[in-house]
Amino acid sequence: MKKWNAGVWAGIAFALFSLTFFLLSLEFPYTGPVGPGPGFLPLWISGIMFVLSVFYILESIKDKDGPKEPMPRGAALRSVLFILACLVAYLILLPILGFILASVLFLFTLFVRHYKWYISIGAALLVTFFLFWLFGSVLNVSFPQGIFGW
Amino acid sequence: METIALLLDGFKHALTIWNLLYCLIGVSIGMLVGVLPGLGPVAGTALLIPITFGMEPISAIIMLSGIFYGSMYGGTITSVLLNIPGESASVITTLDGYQMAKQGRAGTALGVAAIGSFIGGVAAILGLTFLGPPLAEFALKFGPPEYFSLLVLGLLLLVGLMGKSVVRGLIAACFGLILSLIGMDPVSGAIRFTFGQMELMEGLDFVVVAMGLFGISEILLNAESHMKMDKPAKIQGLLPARDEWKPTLKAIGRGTGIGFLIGLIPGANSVIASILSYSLEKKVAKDPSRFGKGAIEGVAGPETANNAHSGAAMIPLFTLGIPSSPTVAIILGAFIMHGLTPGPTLFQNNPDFVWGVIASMFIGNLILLIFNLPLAKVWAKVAMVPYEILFPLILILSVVGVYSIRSSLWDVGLMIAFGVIGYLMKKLDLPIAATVLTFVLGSQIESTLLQSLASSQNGLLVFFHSPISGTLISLAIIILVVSVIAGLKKKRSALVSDLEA
Repeated sequence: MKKWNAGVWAGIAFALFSLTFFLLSLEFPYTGPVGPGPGFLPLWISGIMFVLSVFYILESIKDKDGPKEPMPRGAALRSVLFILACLVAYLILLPILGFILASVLFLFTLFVRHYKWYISIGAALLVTFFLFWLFGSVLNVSFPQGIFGW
Repeated sequence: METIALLLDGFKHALTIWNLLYCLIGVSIGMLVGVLPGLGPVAGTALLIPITFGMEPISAIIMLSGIFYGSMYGGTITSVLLNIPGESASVITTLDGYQMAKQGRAGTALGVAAIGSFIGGVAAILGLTFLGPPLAEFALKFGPPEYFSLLVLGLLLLVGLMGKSVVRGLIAACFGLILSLIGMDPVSGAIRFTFGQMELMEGLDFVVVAMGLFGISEILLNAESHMKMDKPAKIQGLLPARDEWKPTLKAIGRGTGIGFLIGLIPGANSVIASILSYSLEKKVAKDPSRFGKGAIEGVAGPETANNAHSGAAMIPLFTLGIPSSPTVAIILGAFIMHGLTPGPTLFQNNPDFVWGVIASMFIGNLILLIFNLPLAKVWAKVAMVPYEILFPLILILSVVGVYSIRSSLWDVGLMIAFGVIGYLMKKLDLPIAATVLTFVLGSQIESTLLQSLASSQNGLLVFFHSPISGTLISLAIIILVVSVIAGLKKKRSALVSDLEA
């Protein structure tokens, strides 16, 4: 079997996305008291998007070169996934460790790949406290506090 | 005469200490955004929106629009010195600008770009000053059908002019429109597509979507390749040689005209303006073979055009409430957030605001001229900040910025998810600009469509009843048909694959 290019998969994803919204749109009234109702536009747009997705799939099957920028492999892929993993971990740790600890950890992990550990810790602390002051004191944002209460 | 009095009044508002400071902050961040790789004008503008919450609307918009036109100046510096365009409108500048730098003429390239940018920018703001009020007056006659037709035309122009495939452009546009439907429907009050999530009741926040699609995705994309920067060229002598002044000024004049005209068209963006200017310069030149080898007109024209565009792009925003690019769409979102209704009534209802912002744009351009002529060397140093320091800072600022909007970690998660979607869309040549524009305009598209149809006796024909709406929608149909046919014949040469500014 010929290997599908990424466009086919993206087309399938968009087709499923639009199909979901098409089916959900059926729950809303198509007509309102005057003129079209809240189900009108979603139904049409998701329907049109579904048809377009089918064209996209066909276009991608014919297109042998695939998209202009290939998906990353090896080191490049690891690098992208590393940053994503850091972001997700940061998001999970924020409510547990609190803003300051989670942020220092997050920044340190990203800095330490390129700089010495003591420079990385210093930079992470500096940035975190600056943001804590700027957003916390000047702009009155209440940050997640975490289990330690700070 | 009345206009001049109003403008002078605007200067009174723009020249208060605080507003001057916000203007300075705005254009400085604009320069930063233009100079630094990995942070584009959309993400830069969106990042600052949470900070404007407590500010007066006029100060907020002065600052945010400063980022927009400031980034046009900043993008030039890295294009010329490092062959790295800071933002998409400066891509074309690398062709001749970097060559000039290699020949030891980096200073001259930056000098003419700054002068051209200033002339183009100021001319466009003058255009806004004098054309804005009559256009707004005219636009007051627009009803829902005219608006809907104009929105469709703008979006189809965007989709038709960009990217490899019309199908992908349209998919990206539909995607944004569907995302905008999530949450409470303003017309009927129905709650749609929330999947039972309380957080989705108010809909997706446009800052979250824009930061993810444009900001986070850019960082992920840059993570693939190790960014290596060469030592930048030395900057010496900012002014062109005596015999170069005439062709340079002519190129600046033509660039101003092109940028201004393109800026007036909703959906046509600064990248198109700079590319058109470049090809025009090549056409009118006596010796086109100089282009690509350091032709001064190849820098002066496009750089002027993208600044004239950014000034002129404010005209459809102020008079019609229609953005011509994602960055302007973000500014439009900020208008709404600050309780202003963008569109023709803005000139009548909020004259202090409108004229204050216009006056601040004159001031901002003057500050930028100073930044770019005597201070060009300082900004060149800023461009050398290593990316390894920069990207963690951009990431944490994005997270904190998005969190601060609603104090919601859910929004941060959504931003990360949209970052992945944006990354994949960039990989697959799906134009993100189309998604963001339809997302921001979604509720306007729906309400104008529904109002038009509700008032209509014969369905969709309502869009052909008035001459204005009929012309606009016919143009839209023609653009769609032409770009589909060009796509089928494979003769489609994409102007640009995607854009920001």
